[in-house]
Parts: sequence; structure tokens; C-alpha cells
Amino acid sequence: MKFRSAILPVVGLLAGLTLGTVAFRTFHWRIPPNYAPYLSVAALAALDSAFGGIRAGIEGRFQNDIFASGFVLNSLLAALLAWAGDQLGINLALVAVLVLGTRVFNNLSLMRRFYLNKLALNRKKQQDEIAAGTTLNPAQVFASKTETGGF
Amino acid sequence: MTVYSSGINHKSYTWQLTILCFVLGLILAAAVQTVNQVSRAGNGPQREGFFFGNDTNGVQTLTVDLTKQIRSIQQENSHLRRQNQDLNDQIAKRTGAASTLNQELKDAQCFAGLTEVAGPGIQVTLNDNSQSTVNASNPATLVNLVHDTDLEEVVNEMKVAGAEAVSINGQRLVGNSTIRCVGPVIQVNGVPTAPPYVIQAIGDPNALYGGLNLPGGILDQMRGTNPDMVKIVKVPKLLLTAFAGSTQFRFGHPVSPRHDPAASGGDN
Repeated sequence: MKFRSAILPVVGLLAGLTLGTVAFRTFHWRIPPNYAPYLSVAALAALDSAFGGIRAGIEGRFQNDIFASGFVLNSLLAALLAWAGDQLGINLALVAVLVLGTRVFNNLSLMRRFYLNKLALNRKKQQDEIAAGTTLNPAQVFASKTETGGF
Repeated sequence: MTVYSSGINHKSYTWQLTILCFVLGLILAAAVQTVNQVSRAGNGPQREGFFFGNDTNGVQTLTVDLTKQIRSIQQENSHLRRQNQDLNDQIAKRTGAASTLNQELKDAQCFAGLTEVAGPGIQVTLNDNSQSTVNASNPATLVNLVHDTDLEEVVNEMKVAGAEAVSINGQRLVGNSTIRCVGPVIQVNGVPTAPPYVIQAIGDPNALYGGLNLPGGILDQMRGTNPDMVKIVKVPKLLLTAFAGSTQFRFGHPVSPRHDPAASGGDN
């Protein structure tokens, strides 16, 4: 994922935050406190989908249908779990929080590995080129000049 | 080319990701706003049993409206009572027999708290502790507020010390007066009043002063929290307003002692 294409989602996030805050403030919308846990779980599902999407994208395996259906179904299941937990007296929302949270960290670590891997490969490529003599190594140029007493 | 890289252009998923992030932002904003409201409702400087949250049902507005109505009716009531007094005075001037009755009526009204009363007395001002705040989760901090029970204790102490007339923030206390905590205010005679609570009592100023300042008494306890919560002064001349509430009996009716079997000791 290139830097320029990373700006757009961030702008989207900020726009959503601002619009949501302004709308909630101005229109005095209220979500009943009872439903606050469902909202948090939905937010976590969205965060998981976002990270999953980025990861799939940089791996080149991004698919629209998986992305959209994953977000919707994960949110629904998480909300359902939270609701069922309320009915049973067990905090089943924790299940969703745990699983989705783990996935977010997992995706983040995979993204990290991908970029670190790419960085290492680039470095290796450069060194190979230097070894093959296709690119001039600045250090070698400097060394050769000092040996011949060019300075 | 790594194992991960592909030929798929990034634009296709960037836009979808942007839309999702927008939705995520909306949800987060909603969550933050909701949590803010919840915490605002939960941690306010509240008295027991009062919810500081938003006025969802218009109950508070309704209460304010009704309180205004009560006030205006009470004003009208006291106005009519004064008129009645004037008319009684006029009758008394015309006939001698009525004069005695009128005097008796006045005495009874004075005892019942239906007339204004003037005389020497004492004035106690109670205020919430300004040095410390109240934390709803810590019951120990509740002593920083003036409670309805504090007012009741002070009034009781005044009566013990011989107070003939007592009023709190202009509300005259009579036989059926109530002092009750309702949310952030204390209702005296059903009228909400807020701190500072000025309690005036007519009686022997020295006796009242001594009685209220008993070691271990209610004022002593409040001074222990913060001396500034209590102010007490002797006043050479106080003027207490008349009771403005309803005096109508809806269920009971007076029984003359002559016709009351219980009062006459029971003949059978």
C-alpha cells in the first residue's frame, strides 16, 4: 500500500469522526446507555474489517465481497453474542472483543512483517547489484580513491 | 517481486477501505458521545436518589411548571387569608361579642402559623461545604452537603429550646409541614429550596443559642466537617411570614369535646 493511497482511508476516518460528533452534538441524538456495549462491539468489528482489508490489499488478495460481507456478518454476530450474553447473564460480548481484538493484532503483525520483509529484500537486491558491479557502491568509490591517493 | 505482491491496482480497495473507515468514524463518534453522556450522568455532584442525566421525559420541565403553579396559588391563598382577616376585624369593630371571638381566632391562627409573627430570635445559616466536593461513589463525602435530616434536627433542637415560630428560607413551619430531600434540593412545605438554608426561629435568643450549640449537637457535628458550614446569630427582631399552604381538612373533621365519647371518658 502506497503512502498516497493510505491518506484516503485516514481522511475518511477523520471525516466520519467529525461528522458523527457534530451530528450527535447538534441534533442531541442519544443512544440508550444499554446499547453502548453493542456500539463498541460494532466499532471493533469495523476496525477488524479495516485492518483485514489493508492486509488483504497489501498481500494482493483483496476481494470486495469478502470485505463487505465480513464486516456486516461479523458486526451482526458480535451484536448477537452481546445480546445473547445479556439474556444469559454472561458477558458474551467479551468473546467478540477477544476474537476481533486478536485478529486486529494479528493483521497488524502480518502487515509489519510484510513491510519489513520488503525492506530486507530491497536491501538484498541493492547489495546483489553492487556485488555484480551493476551499481557503483559509494563506499568502494571512496576507498579506491584514497588508495590511489587521488585526494 | 515478492510472494505477496500482485498486479491488482490499489485503487479498488482504497475506496472501499475509505468508506469503511468513514463508517468506523461514525460508530466511534457515537460510542464516544454515548459514553460521555453516561459518565456525565454518573459522576456529577449529586445528592442521593437524583439522576443528573438528560431530561428524557420532560419530567423536570413539568416539575418546574407545577412548582410555579404552586407558588402562584400560595400567593393567592395568603392574599385571600389577609382579606379574610381584614373582614373579621371590621366585624369585630361593629359588635362587642364578635371582638372576643376574633381575639380567640387570632390566637389560634397565631399558634397555627397562619399569621405573620415578629419578635426576637435566632438565625442559623447552613451551607454546603465549599472546601470539599461530593463524590457519589464515596459515602463519607456526603457530610459535605446539608441534608434534610440536618434541617430536621436543627428545627427539632430549636423547638426543644422553646422556639415559638420557625421558618426555613421563608417557608413557615406549621403542624403538617414537611422537610424532604428531593434530588438536588430540599423541599420545605413542598417548595424546593437550595443552599444556603436560612432557618429563623422566634423565641428566647439566649436559650436558642445555647440549645443549638450543645456539644455533640447537630451544629457541632457540622462545624466538625467545616466551621464555615454553620453561621448562627441572635437577632433582636425577626419577622416570620405566615404559612401559605393549604389548611383544608379533606378527611378529618373537628369533634367537639362534649359530643366525643372518647374525650368524655366513656359513659358506658
